[in-house]
Amino acid sequence: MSGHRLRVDWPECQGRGLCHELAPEVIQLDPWGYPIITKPVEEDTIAAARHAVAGCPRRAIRLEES
Amino acid sequence: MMRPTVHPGSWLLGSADSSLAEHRRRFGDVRRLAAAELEEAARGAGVLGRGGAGFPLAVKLAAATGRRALRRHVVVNLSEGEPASAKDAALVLTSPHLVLDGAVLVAAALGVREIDLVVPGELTWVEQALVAAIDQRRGAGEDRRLRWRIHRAAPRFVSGEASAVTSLVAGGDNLPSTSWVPAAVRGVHGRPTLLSNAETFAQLAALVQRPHRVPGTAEEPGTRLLSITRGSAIEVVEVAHGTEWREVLSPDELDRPILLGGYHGQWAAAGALLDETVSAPAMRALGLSLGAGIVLPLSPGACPLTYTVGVLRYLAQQSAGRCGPCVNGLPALAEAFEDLVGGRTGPEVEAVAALVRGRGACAHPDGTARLVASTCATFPDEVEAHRGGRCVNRPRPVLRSA
Amino acid sequence: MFSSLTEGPLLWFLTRGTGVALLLVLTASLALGMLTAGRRAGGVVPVFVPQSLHRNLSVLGLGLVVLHIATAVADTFVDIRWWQALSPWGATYEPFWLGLGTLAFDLMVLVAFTSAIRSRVSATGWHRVHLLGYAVWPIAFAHGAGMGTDAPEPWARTVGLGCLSVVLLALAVRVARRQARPARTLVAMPR
Repeated sequence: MSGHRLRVDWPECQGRGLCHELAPEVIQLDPWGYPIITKPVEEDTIAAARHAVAGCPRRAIRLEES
Repeated sequence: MMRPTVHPGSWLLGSADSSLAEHRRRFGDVRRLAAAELEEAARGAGVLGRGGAGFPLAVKLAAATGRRALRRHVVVNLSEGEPASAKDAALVLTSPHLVLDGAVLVAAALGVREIDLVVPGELTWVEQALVAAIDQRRGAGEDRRLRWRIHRAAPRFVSGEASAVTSLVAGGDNLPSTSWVPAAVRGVHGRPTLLSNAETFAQLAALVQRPHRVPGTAEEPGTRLLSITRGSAIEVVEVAHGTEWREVLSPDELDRPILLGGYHGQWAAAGALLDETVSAPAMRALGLSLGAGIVLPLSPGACPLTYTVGVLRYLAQQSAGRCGPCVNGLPALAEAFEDLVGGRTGPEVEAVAALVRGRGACAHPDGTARLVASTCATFPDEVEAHRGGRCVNRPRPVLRSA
Repeated sequence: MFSSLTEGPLLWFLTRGTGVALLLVLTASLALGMLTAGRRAGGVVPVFVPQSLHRNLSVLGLGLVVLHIATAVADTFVDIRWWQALSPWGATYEPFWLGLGTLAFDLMVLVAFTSAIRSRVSATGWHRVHLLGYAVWPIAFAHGAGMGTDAPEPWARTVGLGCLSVVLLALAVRVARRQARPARTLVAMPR
């Protein structure tokens, strides 16, 4: 287990969905466009997770050590 | 809100005389304790926060002192936050000095010179009573090196959330925001902040100032302030831990479903509390929580599902509007539940609840989802009946209208 | 050998070449930036594509402008000193048009810097500085039109006009999108 998880800054998030585009393995979108973190970040998904964090236009998602 | 009816209690609400002189007669002068001593006192007595989350005060104190910091903050939340709660106002009216002593105790231990008090903005009499108490202390030469600052909370349900309070105290708006670390670590202006409910401070002060003859049990010293809704009034009652619910509520009330913990609480089915006591572990064993001590017995003959529909509508409307899943999801949840109650087909209530749980800056969506889950779990017969277009509490079928 | 480098036309060609390349790169970057702004997922092209291109082209633009300035400074044919890249005081060669170029460069550096430290600044602060990027294009365009060696050439005018059209088209799309945005009653209110 890589021991990371994604956390969303909900007041900043505007539901643009780039995080889902960049890391669909761990991020789905709810009916209103906001991210649902479906599972913790593992070795195989950490690169995509980092892209998702860098790609958010509001810097509304972070990768944390869990 | 009208003034609550405050019943005299054994400890916090022990005297009809709310003056400083009477308070000093009962509790003595404020003791000065070092942070470690205060923490030990809170830990030994197992003091839990009275604001709803029930977080151990000792852990909060340790976190607030754990980090080296030039300045810290002590914030007393007297804003109630829920329409069905009146215990903070009751404390201000009958024992303000106990709350203020508690704040002074913590401030002295943390090296804080300025204490922040958050009052309900729309209840001017609470602020006036508090100011009068502070003036009495100044007049008696107390709190010489302390400054008291009063902040007015907005009349919203989410105003009492920790991040909303720290934001207000820091001069911002009274709305929740994402807090990556607890307020005790980084709160007001990023400084360690000991933020707690007024009753928590009062319980702490009473324990420290008069450690003998503490009501309650050995495992749970102390008392609870309960806000009981009866008709259109709220009665505030002080109850020692371990007291039987039978002594707090009437047999008729105990025979009805009771919403325990307020609008983010859980239902105790009719009769569930008959043989139980007012105790945190006892409630936990039943899958319930005392929360902030809000007790809402259902009106005689009312339908718990219809009641919950009203609460959900209110909670949805009270969203701060900052987080997408909350501002969109709570109305959707209220609507899905309303469909269920109205016997209409619609999205699965649990599916919508899962969409809001844990997806917001504060616990407002979580609490709302908790209420829905509790309602469905506690009243399966009513749910079944409503799905079929009937209601067990009323003889007529439920009308299928919007 | 070095003196032949600085005295011959090589540096001059590089300055001019990077200048034209910059016009194209900045045009593309600005257009892509406008096409990315406010976009939500769910369209034909994933939003991270224009976003990523915008970022990469901007970085390329930074590199080009550094080369553009370095070659202009190193070139001894015209008297441009290195500090005039940051501030136009004391410039003797085309001080007004050069000053525009300096201004454009300063703005580019500011925008790039705030983007680099984006996680440490507030979202609104970053956004306000980033909007200055809109000013970079017309200022750089004027700089090139005013003192560019190739500016009067027909091919240069065609390129310039083409870039202007691209920018105006992207601007029209951006404005149209902004106005077509659905009422935000059901979406979270901005802070």
